[in-house]
Amino acid sequence: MTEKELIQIFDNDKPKYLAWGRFLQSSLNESIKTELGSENKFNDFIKIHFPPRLKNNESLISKAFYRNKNYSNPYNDITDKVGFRYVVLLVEHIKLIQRIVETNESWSYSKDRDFEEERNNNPLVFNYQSVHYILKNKKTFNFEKTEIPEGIACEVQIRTLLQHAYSELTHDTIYKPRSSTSHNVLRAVARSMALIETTDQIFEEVNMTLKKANNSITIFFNSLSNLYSTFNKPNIEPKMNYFILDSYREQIEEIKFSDIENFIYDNNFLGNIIKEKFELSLLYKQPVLLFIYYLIKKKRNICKTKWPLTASELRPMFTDLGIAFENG
Amino acid sequence: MAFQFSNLRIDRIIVHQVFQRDENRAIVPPKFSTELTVLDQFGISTFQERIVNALGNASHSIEMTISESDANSTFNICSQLLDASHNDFKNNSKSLPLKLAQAQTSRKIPGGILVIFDGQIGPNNKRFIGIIKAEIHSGFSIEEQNNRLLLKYLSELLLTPQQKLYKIAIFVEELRTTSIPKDPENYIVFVYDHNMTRSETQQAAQYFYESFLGCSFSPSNKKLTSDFYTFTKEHINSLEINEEEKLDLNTSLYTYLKTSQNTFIEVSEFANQYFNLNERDSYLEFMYSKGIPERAILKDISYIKYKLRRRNIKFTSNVRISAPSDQFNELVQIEQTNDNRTLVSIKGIISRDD
Repeated sequence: MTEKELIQIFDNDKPKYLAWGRFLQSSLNESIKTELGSENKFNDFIKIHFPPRLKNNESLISKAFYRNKNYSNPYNDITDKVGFRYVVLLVEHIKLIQRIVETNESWSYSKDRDFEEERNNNPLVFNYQSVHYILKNKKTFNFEKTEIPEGIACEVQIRTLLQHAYSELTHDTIYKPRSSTSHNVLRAVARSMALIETTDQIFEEVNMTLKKANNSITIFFNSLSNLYSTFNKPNIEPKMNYFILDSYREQIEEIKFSDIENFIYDNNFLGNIIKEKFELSLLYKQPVLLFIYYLIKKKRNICKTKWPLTASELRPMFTDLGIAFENG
Repeated sequence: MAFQFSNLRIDRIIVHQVFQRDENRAIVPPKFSTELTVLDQFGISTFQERIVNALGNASHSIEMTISESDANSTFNICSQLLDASHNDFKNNSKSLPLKLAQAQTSRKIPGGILVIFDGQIGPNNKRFIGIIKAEIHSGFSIEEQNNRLLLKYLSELLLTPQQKLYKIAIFVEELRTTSIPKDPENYIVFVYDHNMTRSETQQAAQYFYESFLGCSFSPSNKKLTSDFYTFTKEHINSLEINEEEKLDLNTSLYTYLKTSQNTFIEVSEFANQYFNLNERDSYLEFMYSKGIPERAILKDISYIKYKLRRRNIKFTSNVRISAPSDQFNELVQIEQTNDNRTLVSIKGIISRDD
């Protein structure tokens, strides 16, 4: 096959490759959103968005004929003719996407690179790290009016922000071409990768510790949200809820949630008050409101003393329960 | 369970004005309003807040007894307003400022705005009718003009958070019946008047709660005061604190009941004055669970006079010290406690050995 022939075939196939890339990205995005629970969480989760991109003709030729790859069928053997990438914050997040990639029945997958495997095989080397998948279509179908043939391949890369930074620095300069990069540069790059791997690990630890600390509060908050939903659909502002709940950590540890439920059910007029005041104040749209009511009734002195906002924001809830906030 | 001021809803509000008597101590005719007052959501919230702060749970209001229920009594007028049409509500409410003007026999008593309102209260939506006498005072508001902030004098302010400047009562219909006239047995009444809370001003409160409202102090105050004492003592002694701290708290209880000038006692006031923050809520919970009202009680120590006269402390070795409670701290001083011995310093010398 000549260079010209190769490009001809590729130019002809480009719409199919692009459609396959788009199909994969949109199905993966949907699955990630479902896993995370919301569009907002998804946007926060993917740190850099990369749409599918076709390999340019020059680098296809270079890879097929000039880089000592010894392909028997260069056009078919080159599997990154289309590709896209996910960049996330933590190694743990890479794993979440991996699970999604590996459990979808619409394609077959093979791992082109797995940094954890590479680490195990070469424990003394600090080099480019990323997870690369080759995803192949199992069955011909149409997507966006384009026929996508069986066996068509797309490369999906998944990395952390730090791994991405490393590859931005090195990819086009030292990793791909076999130039004789100086020893000093290679050494420096290896050192930075070692540092990146260490930092990624520390990030993970920080994340774990934070999660652990917030775990009981999160469970508590979720229960409050469910309870609130029995009256009204909340309009949740998570930071406000956590900010308030954080002030009462000690009390939350001591409280049986069923006591709050019983209190709320015994005072079902609160449901009407919540509906009436819903539009008047952000606090009335928050699940944490139910906890505040409970505290006012059972531990009003602690409630007042540890209240993290201003008194004027707490006063209306005292009034709802008929308890004097201050008396003459 | 004690009466709950939760779920307060206001339906109708009307205001009339009463005046101070003239130089000849004759009644100046009240000024009547012919329309109901309509407040916006924020106005209603603030109005509710004033009512709850004065009468609600943990407030200084007291439950009273309705002693006058004849045709021209405030109770009778009020209880009939509950079923009145808007027109009747407007017209019949006028007899209340007239009654108040009659009750204000002294020139010392200022005029004010009489706010009459009805609505529902409590988890079970009990109907109520409320009356506020609000004194008019002056104050300022702030105005912005061309980037300048200016104070603007307001000569007629009322119902600010300053509770000294209003008196309030509500009649709550506990049991709804169709009989007319209404039976006071089916109603409970709560009253707040700052003047009632101190012995030196209690006389000044009489025209409102007695002459105007036709209410009197409930005979149950003796029992409630005694219960307050017994249960507070029980709670103090059950606390996991050292004996000296208990002694201090018990001294506070004597002071609060015996020597303080307050005419009322109230659980959350006692908690706030004498308990540590962490102990307050459990004290409230305990007292309320024993049926002590969640508002003020008229202090009447008739039943516990004898107990309050002398304080007795007992040591593990069965030694007792008994001393007049009002001078206990001066007469008996616990100097030191260690291991199994207590060093006590007693003023005076042994005068008798029975």
